This record gives sequence, structure tokens and C-alpha cells, in this order.
Amino acid sequence: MIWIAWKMLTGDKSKYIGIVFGVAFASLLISHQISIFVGIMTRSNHLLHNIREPDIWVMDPNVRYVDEVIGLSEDALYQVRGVEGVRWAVRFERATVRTRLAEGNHPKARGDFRQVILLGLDDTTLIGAPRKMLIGSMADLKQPDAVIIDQAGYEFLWPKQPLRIGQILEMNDHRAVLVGVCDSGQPFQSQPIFFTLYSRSIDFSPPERRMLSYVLVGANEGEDQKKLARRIAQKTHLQALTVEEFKWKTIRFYLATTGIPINFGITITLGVIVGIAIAGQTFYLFTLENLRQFGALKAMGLSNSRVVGMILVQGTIVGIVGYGIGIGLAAAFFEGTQNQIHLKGFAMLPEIMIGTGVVVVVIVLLASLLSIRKVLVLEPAVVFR
Amino acid sequence: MGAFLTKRLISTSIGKSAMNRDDNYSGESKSDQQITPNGSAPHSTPQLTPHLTMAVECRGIKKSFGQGDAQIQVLRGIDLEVAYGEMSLLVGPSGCGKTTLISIIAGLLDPTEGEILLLGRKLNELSNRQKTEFRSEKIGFVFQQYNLLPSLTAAENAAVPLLIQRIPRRQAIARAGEILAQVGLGDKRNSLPSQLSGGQQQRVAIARALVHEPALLVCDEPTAALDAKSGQKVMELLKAVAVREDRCVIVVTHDSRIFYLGDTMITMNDGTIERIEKMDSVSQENQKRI
Repeated sequence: MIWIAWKMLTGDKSKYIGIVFGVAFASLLISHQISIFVGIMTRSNHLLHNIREPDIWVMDPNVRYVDEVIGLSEDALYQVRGVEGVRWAVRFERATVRTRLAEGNHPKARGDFRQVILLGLDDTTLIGAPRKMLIGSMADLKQPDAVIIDQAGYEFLWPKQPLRIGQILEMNDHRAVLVGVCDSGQPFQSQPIFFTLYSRSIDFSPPERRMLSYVLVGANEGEDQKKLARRIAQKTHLQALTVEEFKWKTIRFYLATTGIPINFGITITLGVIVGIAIAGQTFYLFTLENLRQFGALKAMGLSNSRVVGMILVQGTIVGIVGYGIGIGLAAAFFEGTQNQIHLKGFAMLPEIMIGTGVVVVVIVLLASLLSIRKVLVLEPAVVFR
Repeated sequence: MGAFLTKRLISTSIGKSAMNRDDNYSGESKSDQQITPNGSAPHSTPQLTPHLTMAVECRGIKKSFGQGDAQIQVLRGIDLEVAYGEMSLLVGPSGCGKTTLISIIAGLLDPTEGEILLLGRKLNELSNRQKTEFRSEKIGFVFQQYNLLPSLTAAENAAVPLLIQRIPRRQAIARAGEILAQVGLGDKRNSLPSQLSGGQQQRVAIARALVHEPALLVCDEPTAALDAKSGQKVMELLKAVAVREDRCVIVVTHDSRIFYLGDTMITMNDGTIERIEKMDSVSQENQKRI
């Protein structure tokens, strides 16, 4: 009877396409929007993804998310280094500065201003330096006024121009020279990221009484990082968080204080509702239109369990086809935009595919249950009326 | 019209050969099927004793729908016997209970009261699952609206009862092709219902009803959706291919043009059997002339 179920389903092309479209649309919307949401949340943590050497980040107790910088006293570094279990601790500055370009991002424009993120790396160890250079070398940071920019930032500042170095910029009335372009994860607001030495970044940033943003900490081998973070916080009266803790603190901040989760939540919910409405209603109508046929089959001796089996087979077929199309389209989007540097960080994770699959199963089951209920209560004698 | 008809109880008109039919069901031996009175009748109607010459035996069948003030009594105590080897026509005005009675005989509805012995089995004693299996093996249906599956070809539609019995698809469709040839649609086996005329669709439905060699064929207004000529042809075909010594054919109809094809005419009125008439060749000829 599986074969008959398949023939019944695909025989009515318009309904079949309608049901598949409903499931495909829901799959596409859900998987795409969750992927974008996860991508945005990941980008909100760009510093933690890009700078992988530290085990613990030490900061002002009032910091709520990774881009919220509250300056620390230089003494903090030495206090942290004095805590038992700390293998190393280095300075790190994260600042937002205004940059003036000697060559603007328009061929005729000169002297454009752009807001950028400036990361000051420890002069000695260069901890936090990008892993992959596209042009130039990290060692060039030792040159006077040297800065390195990320690829997306380069394309933002000098669009459609081939990668090259040597451009002159101005940061806080200081001369800066571009010595390299690196590959780096994108920040939340897609601003260009400049890397330079900590000592130089202090000059490039607007003056403040306290310039140290974070103390980056490496734990001793075998040290419990959470315990060490608690110990540092206790000894220094600063906030010390492991990387994972800091990621979730940042995500929770964005979830609690922005409209992002609500907006995406609404879109995802709409996807589910539209999926259930289109797929469920069309599937139900399909069953209603075939009710006499189901009645005839029951009269001819088809048991209820086999009728249920037929409907579940039909639901499974539209579920698989619709899910395949929806997930395929979402995957094609992310595959197609993979090389779009400004969309970096957006991808469909296997967990999202599985989660979407679970939602599709729920949609199909709900749609099938309505139809099953209708067919189960159907008296086979209806065929004589 | 009554003057042309000879009244006779149909129970007297069965041939011996009907005794030889294969009515073994659910693995029971023929002796297992001998249902004997057990003295525990739930109502005052006589206890049924299996009578192997009768395909259908109804005793005191009542059926009502609804409850309280809204209750409608559709069948008011039906006693009926229908023999093997005949085509019996169930006639009567609209709303007289023909469809309800045929539904009960086919095991699609349960009577409110009364007993029914169908092909040697007491329907009242079968569970729903057993009734479903019983229908799939022993009963063929021809519906007024054909109820063919629009996405299946004629052969595939005709094969459905065999597929319900889990016969392999290839085998079932091959058998359906043979039966389609018998009803004159051998060249239409790959046509979809939408490509067939009403008469051809009803012939496919007849093939579907016969493909699994049922012992009872139930036809509900098989000519209602057809013009006079097509209806007559379909019924003549039905009589030719369906009526056998080991099969009982019951046709519910309003169509007086096909009365001459019946061997027995059961007339219902207001939920009761008004009369049962045996049609001999003379009365059939007279009917045809009318």
C-alpha cells in the first residue's frame, strides 16, 4: 500500500507541490534564520574567536560583553601575574578609534574618516596576533608606525582594490603605515580591525587615564581554569572569566539587551507557523479530497493501521522532499556567499540541520495527525452515501 | 407490474452446486464453520442456523441512528435470505433503508439489533479486525461513483483488492489485466480513469470487485451515474461475468430499466421488506419489454 500512497500523493501534482513547498519554505526559513542568528552571536564574540591563546580574560568588574571596554590600571597586570597558577599574563588593548585615510575609499576622495577597531598586542609576545597573513608579515609590526588590517576591513576601506601594503593612515593625529593584511573573523558591526603593538596602540587611541582593556592569562598545565579565574577575581578584585564563560556572558548580554533574539525568534516562529499552515492545511485538504477513496479502501478491507501507515508514508515523503529542498536552498545560500568577505562567519552548522529536521518532523506529524484523525473516524459505509 | 411477477421465497431456489463453494475463512475447516445454536440469543429473533445454500441470512435486523428524540429508526426488523448463484436486486424508494441494509450485510455497519449470517459466518461474532479481513477476502464492491483512484491506471485500480491482500504488485496487476480483458477493457489497462468514459470506469470498478474472486458482490446503484444505454450494457456485463453458482450478487438500484436482469427482486419500504419476488424467465422478458 506504500506504492498506492505514493501514487495518490504524487498523482495530484498541484497539491503535492503545495505541500512540499510548505515544508521546504519552513525548512529554508528556519535553518537560514537560525544560521544567521548563530552567526551574529558568533560575531558578537569575535575577539574571543580570533584570540585563542589565553585561557582567562581579566577585566573591570563592570564589563558586560567583550566589546565593552573599561580601562584597567597597569597594576592589574602585575597583580594577575602574582596569582598562583598563572603561567603568563599580558596586556591587551581594544579601542574604537577614528582613522583618516590618505587615500579615500573613492578614487577621487581623499582624507575620509572611518571608525575602526584597534587591537593592541603585547609588544614582546604578540599574543592575540592573527594566525593567517594574506600579505606582509606579523614581524613587520616591529617597524615604526606599523599596523596590520583584516581583509574585510581592507575591502571596506579600499573597495575593489587589490591587496597591497604601504598605505598611510592617520590615527589620533599619529601616522600609521599599513604593513600587512590578515585573515580574521568579523566583528559584530563589520568595522575594520587594525592590529598593532600595545605600546603603539596607546598613542593611536584617544587619551584616557587607564588604557589597558584586558589582561590575557595563560594557565599552568593541568590547572583548573574556572578555579583559577575565581582565584584571580578573589585576589585582584577584578572580573576574571574563562573563554567559555566570557562568550556566554556576551551572548546573554546581546540576547537580553537587543531586539535580535525577538526578531529572529519571530521569523523562525513564522517559519514554523507558515510551514504548519501551508503544509498542514494542504495535506489535510488533500486527505479530505481523497476521503471517498480512503472510505472505499476501508470498505474493501484495508485496516485502519494500514490507512494510518499510508498517510504517514505520504507525510514522510513530503517531509523528506520538502526538507531536502529547504535545507538545500539554505546550504546553497551559505555556499554561494562563502567567499563574500562581509558575510564571513555565517554558515549552517550540522546541529542546525538536525534541529530543522526535528521541526520538520513535528510539522509533518501535526499535518498527518489531522488527516489521520479524519480518516480513522471515517465510516467505510460513507462510500454508499 | 406486480401482475408480471411471480412471488416466491428465494430460499427455495438454490441449486446444489452452491454447496461446493469454497467458503473457508481464516484458516477454519468447513466443519468449524458449522454454527450451531447456543441458546443465548440476545433478543427474541430466531437463532440462525447455518444454511450452506444461503449466502446471506438476516434475522430481525434493526438499525437506528441518533439518540433520544433525534433517534431515527431506519430498519425496522429485516428478515431476509439471499441465495448463491443469483443476482438479487434491492429496490425501493429513497430513504427506505436500502443503503443501510446493504452496509450491514457487507459488514460496514453494525445492526442495532438482530443477527446476520454472511457466507457461513456470524458477523455479530467477528471483531472489527476480523470483519475487515473478511471483507478483503470475501466481498467485492461496486460503488455508484466508481471510487477509482485517479492516479492509478485501470489495471492498477483493478488490482487494489489484491494489493490489500498483500499479493505482490506485479502479480496483482497481471491478474487485474486478465479480468479487465474479461470486461472488455484489455486495451485500456494503462489508461487513467480520467481517460475513460463513465461506462468504462464502471467496468473497471466491476473488474476491481471481481479480481479477488469474492463470494459476495455488493453493488450500490451501479448505473446511477450512467446514461441508459451504458447502464444497461454495464449491468448485462455484470450479470455475465459476476453471477456464478458460488457467488451471490446484490444490487441496490432505482433503475427500473435493469430490473429484467435480476433473478430476485427484494422490495423495501419504510425500513421493512415489502415483498420478495422470484423472477422467472417469463417475468424477466416482460420486464425487459416494459
